[in-house]
Amino acid sequence: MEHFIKILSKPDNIPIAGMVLLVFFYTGWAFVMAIRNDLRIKAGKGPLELEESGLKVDVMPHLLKREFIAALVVTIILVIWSVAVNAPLEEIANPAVTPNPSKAPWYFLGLQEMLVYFDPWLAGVVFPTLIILGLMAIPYLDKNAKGNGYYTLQERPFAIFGFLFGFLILWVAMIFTGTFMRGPGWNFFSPFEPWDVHKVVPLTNVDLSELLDIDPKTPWYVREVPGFLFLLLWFTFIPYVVALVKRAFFAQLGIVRYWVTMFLFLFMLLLPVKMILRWTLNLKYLIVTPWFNI
Amino acid sequence: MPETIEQKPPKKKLVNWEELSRQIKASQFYKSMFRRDYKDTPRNRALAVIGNVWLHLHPVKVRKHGIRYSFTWGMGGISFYLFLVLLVSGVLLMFYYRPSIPEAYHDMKFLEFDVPFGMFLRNIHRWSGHAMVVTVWLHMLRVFMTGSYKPPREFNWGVGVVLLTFTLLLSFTGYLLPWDQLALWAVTVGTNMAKATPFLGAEGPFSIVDAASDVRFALLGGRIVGPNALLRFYVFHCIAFPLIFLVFLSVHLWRVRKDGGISGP
Amino acid sequence: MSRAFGWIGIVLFLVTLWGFWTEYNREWKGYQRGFRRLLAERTQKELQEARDRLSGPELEKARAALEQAVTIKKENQEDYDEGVKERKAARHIFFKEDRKRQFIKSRLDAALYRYEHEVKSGRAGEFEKGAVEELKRELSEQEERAAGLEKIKDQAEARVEHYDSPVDAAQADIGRLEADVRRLEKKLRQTQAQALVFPRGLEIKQFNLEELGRVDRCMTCHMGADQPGLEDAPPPFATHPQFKTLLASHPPEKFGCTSCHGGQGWATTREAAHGRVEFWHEPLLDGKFIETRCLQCHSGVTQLEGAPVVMKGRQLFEQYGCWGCHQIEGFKPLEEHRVGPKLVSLGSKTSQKWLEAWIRDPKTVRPKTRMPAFRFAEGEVEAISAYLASLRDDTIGPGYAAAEKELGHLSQYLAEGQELVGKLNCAGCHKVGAEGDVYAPELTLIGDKTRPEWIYQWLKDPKKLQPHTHMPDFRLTDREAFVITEYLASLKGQGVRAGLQGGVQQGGGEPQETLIARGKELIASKGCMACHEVEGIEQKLIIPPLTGLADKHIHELEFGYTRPEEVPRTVYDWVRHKINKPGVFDTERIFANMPTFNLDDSEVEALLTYLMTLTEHGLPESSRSPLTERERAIELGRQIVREHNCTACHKIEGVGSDVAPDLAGEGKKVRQDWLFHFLKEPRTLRPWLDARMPNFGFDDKEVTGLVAYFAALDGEPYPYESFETPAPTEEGLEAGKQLFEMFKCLACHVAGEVPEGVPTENLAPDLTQVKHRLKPEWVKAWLEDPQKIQPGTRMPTNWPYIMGRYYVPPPAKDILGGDVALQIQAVRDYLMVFEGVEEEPEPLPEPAVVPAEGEATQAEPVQEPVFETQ
Repeated sequence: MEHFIKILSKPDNIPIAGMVLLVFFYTGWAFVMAIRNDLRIKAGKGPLELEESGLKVDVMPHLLKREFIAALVVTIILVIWSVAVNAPLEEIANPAVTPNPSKAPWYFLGLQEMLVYFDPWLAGVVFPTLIILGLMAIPYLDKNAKGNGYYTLQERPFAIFGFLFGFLILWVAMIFTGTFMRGPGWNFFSPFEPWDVHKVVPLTNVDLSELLDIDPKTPWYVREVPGFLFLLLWFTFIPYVVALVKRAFFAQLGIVRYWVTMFLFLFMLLLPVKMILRWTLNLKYLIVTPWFNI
Repeated sequence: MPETIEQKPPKKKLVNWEELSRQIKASQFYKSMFRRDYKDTPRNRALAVIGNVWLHLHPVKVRKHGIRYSFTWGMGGISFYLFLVLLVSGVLLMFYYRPSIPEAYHDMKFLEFDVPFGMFLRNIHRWSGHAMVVTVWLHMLRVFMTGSYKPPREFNWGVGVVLLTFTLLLSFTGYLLPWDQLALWAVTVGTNMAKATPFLGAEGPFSIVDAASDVRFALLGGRIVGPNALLRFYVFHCIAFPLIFLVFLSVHLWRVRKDGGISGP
Repeated sequence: MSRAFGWIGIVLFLVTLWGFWTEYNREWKGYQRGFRRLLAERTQKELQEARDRLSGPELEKARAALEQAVTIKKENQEDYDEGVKERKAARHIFFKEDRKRQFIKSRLDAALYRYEHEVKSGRAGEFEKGAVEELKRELSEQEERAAGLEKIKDQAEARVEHYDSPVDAAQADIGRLEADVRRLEKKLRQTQAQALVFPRGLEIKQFNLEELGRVDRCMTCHMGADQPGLEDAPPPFATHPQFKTLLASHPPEKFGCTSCHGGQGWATTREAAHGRVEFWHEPLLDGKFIETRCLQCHSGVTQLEGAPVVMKGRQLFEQYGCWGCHQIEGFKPLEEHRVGPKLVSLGSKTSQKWLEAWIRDPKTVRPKTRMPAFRFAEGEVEAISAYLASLRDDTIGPGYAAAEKELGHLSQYLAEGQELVGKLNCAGCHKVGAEGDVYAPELTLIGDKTRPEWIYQWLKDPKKLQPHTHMPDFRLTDREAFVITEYLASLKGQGVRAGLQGGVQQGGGEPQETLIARGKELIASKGCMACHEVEGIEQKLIIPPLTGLADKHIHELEFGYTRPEEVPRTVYDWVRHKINKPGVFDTERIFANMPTFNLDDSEVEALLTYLMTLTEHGLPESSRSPLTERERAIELGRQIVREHNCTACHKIEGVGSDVAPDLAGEGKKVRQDWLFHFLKEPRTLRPWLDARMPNFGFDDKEVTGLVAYFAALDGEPYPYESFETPAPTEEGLEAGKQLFEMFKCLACHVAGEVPEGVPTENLAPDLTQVKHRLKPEWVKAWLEDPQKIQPGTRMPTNWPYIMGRYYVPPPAKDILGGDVALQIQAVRDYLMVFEGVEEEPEPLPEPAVVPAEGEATQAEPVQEPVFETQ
């Protein structure tokens, strides 16, 4: 327990703890608002915001007062925080001595965690790029006219759960993991386990081709066929099947939007899938070529 | 909660606040600085907003749910406020900081122990920075949950994503400046990913450049996180990225108005 | 909403106040206020003491004097008043007339100018000339008048002064005595003003040391450190200890504080400044560990006043041969051969049984040995011993056999041998029985270990058997060597019943060749080679260097199965326990090859302190303390003396034994060329004694090192000596011979051959060697006053020293006009040509050297060279 408190009380980890609490709080609040709206919609009243958007209030003083108060409260929090907790300063930078563990800034810990499962070009370049592009693409892919400007759950379940899955689980939870559960050597430690520099964990991993008992000596374009096949099916077969099942969804989006949406979504899901394959089968790579590995 | 301002019945108090405020407002001193005859009329309320250089970004009226914390969470505004705090504290810190080795680290010690309010300044800058990253994410979450990215606000959402990226980059470039072990190695880990860029990274798949001319070299000004990187990050952090951020921020705020203010059904 | 706003505003205001308060109320301000209060209190105390002192006898005297002077003045008040009046009038008129004089003079100067101007312009200037003459006359008149009036004025003033000056003097005395009090009163006012609750001028005090890359703010709290007089103040205000020696030679403006003490100089809070915080790797050093810093600048010496522990540690590191395994960058031992003997001919020296006992645990055989104990598996000791016992040398033996044949074995040899051992001072290096040093191996039970043939061979010529041994060659005759051997071989005990017959024992089980082969492998892999040279084997062991040991991070050290209570998790404790018991951190995967040295606690601490100096983060080169030539010579000399244990017989720099002469002043006394040859091949200077300086087999480097050392100790120039060149006249030499015979020098001093029948305690050194051995100036000083150079010597003082002068003894008062200096010089010159009594002094041939500057060049040029080099 002291170890958990020790990590928690490191000055730079306070915002992370705060973030986790706030994210959960606000997500909960959003859900409460959404469910309330959904109940109203079911009762035929329409969302609360609809009722309110007919009314307009003066910015001065109503909005301005609220903004000012928010600023004051934030200031109070900042001042107390800045007087009580000092920013960290470790030893002077020494390129010859690598701390163990060496962690990226906390907001990038999700990416650093991904490095366990993917090579740097994927985890550090391709995924972040797709995250940014994917986020920007959301408005152009979301053809659901409902839910524009008010909280609702039942009118846009796919959007909400897809986003929350990506945000809460694949981003925030990974940051939590990277902060509290990764120690020296990037070994896994429970939050209550003291960090031992000398911990040795058996970490032998196999590739897909090895799992399927293919002779390592076969040339790569033959040996990696199963891996390529897997990816191919992942990105073509699954969307096809889903399109057949959810015809309305497919029709709403059209082929291009549908496929881009599925591509992004499935790419995102590759991360948890790879993680599960690693934990269960000790799988390291699906595909191994002389130029890149996936 | 009452929606309009009501005159509360005056109570017996130690100090008669209303009388006091009336007397202040009648004084020459006050009258020379502030608007006079501030009668609380709709027109005056409107003028207070659109006639003020700082406030005229706001419309005169907003939809009712737009002032509700339970709708907006106030996160956009709080993010902006934190940005202002960062600007002011950042400029003040620039008086005491030299982006060279080993002066950078020693200046940190100087701020910590010697400069009056030095530690406070450094703290508020760092914590506001971390807080801003969190509030920006919460703002993004809120906008998504209320579907406020849907037409006509698609472009603004994209601008917001750019702002998010720059917030993270600002935090990242600032992370290096104390030049301690935490800073050096965090940035090393972060920039090592750039080495793996396909085509343009020295160790990425299908690399066409070597370590002296790849993306990472461009980022760091060298092959290591060293004096060049420190200076480069300093300039990014203090000048380049804030300016770019401000440009995008202006577009972002203007688009909010143009797209019809706070989104609603 | 407004109410919320109001409350939030108030909270923000309070929080801001809180922020301001924490910022203002810094820790160091409290210390500075405390210091100021301390100063005020002390000043108060000093003032009180000064006031007490004030009421002493001196003050009474001064006050009495004042009383008296005032009374006298009062009694002669009329005279005084009159005098004052007179004085006033005299002054008045004098000043008036004197002013007139000044006016006249200035008019004269102007007139002169006008005259000159006229003449220069080509005119005659008659008128001006007349004016000048007139004014000159006026001036001289006026001057006379003024002078007269001045005299009158002086007299009038003196009359008044007669009464006034005693009063003034007495008041000045009182003022002087009270000065202390007044000064302290002022100081008290100042210090009290500074010690107010909210004083002004509290500020951080720092030294910005750019060359060292440090900023030291320690004196912000440790305000009294550079003020002598606060030794008894409570910490942190006390004066720096050893203020005069340490602080004077290491002023904080140049060195700061943290260069010696460690800590975080940038910080201004106590915990952070003392550096005992996370992320600061230079914590404040405690106690003896401060000495580790001395070595960062004083890296060229092995002896340093004020740093005894760390220097002892360095010595131990060198003596115990740690460097044979563990390299340290920049560490060079004085002698580069290994610290242990070469393992050769052991089969001819001792028995396998003894070797096994020794190797298994050396300290049980010889408690003070430097050889450590290794950890052996089953059968390893037997294998190694078998291999070593198989090394034979057949040249050992014939010498002893021949002597044995000639002399036989008589019981008297034991006593003779023992006596000789005493006379030669073997105990100076070896422990024999209860007495002796541990510098060399203990001989108490040598009879159990070593064969007599080997002992004999060793005594006759140590370097033949061990080329690098420090054991010197005593130039023993065969008989001497034999009797000593007999004596030593008789020193047996219960210890290891060696049974020196038979060489290699038959071990049980394994055939001999396999055992020997296995022994050879083990020697290569167990680390024996770090200290011992063994022919034909090379070391196969990887050993970590110790460079940068003090920088090791705690994570880089393996603590094995020890618990934190047993071994605290610090680098210091890890090293300490490792030296004490190297196997303490062993685990299933890690086995330490390092043997156990069984050092006592103080040795372990000293060694630990030395090892903690091994850091890569030293102070920059520019702060190093460079050694002068002289210091370097002394340093090297000390190392050689330590290495060869010269103090076993000699006293050097006040330390050592009385068996051989005290070498203080040797640099001033003997000639360097003589000393060089002597050290290379010592000859017996006093052959009537059995004690003799043995031959150490120094190489040139060591000998020149020693010569330079002695020269440096006495401030003599090296290597270019210059002598005063004696240039005697024939008359001078005659006088010298006369004095020589008069003083009967040869009653004690030997002249060439040792005389028979004279008790040897009364003999003195050979005078025929003076010209070769001694410096001419020294001889003069010695003749003048031997007691000054060597107190207690039996050499008489020939020219008595009475009441500040040297006197010529009556029989010699006619020689050379009774001049002491000339006489001394004459005797010296005579000694410089003295060849012994048989021959007449040879006629003086042509001079071969030019007399030195300043020496009177003689009319008769005939001289033989007054000194020859051998």
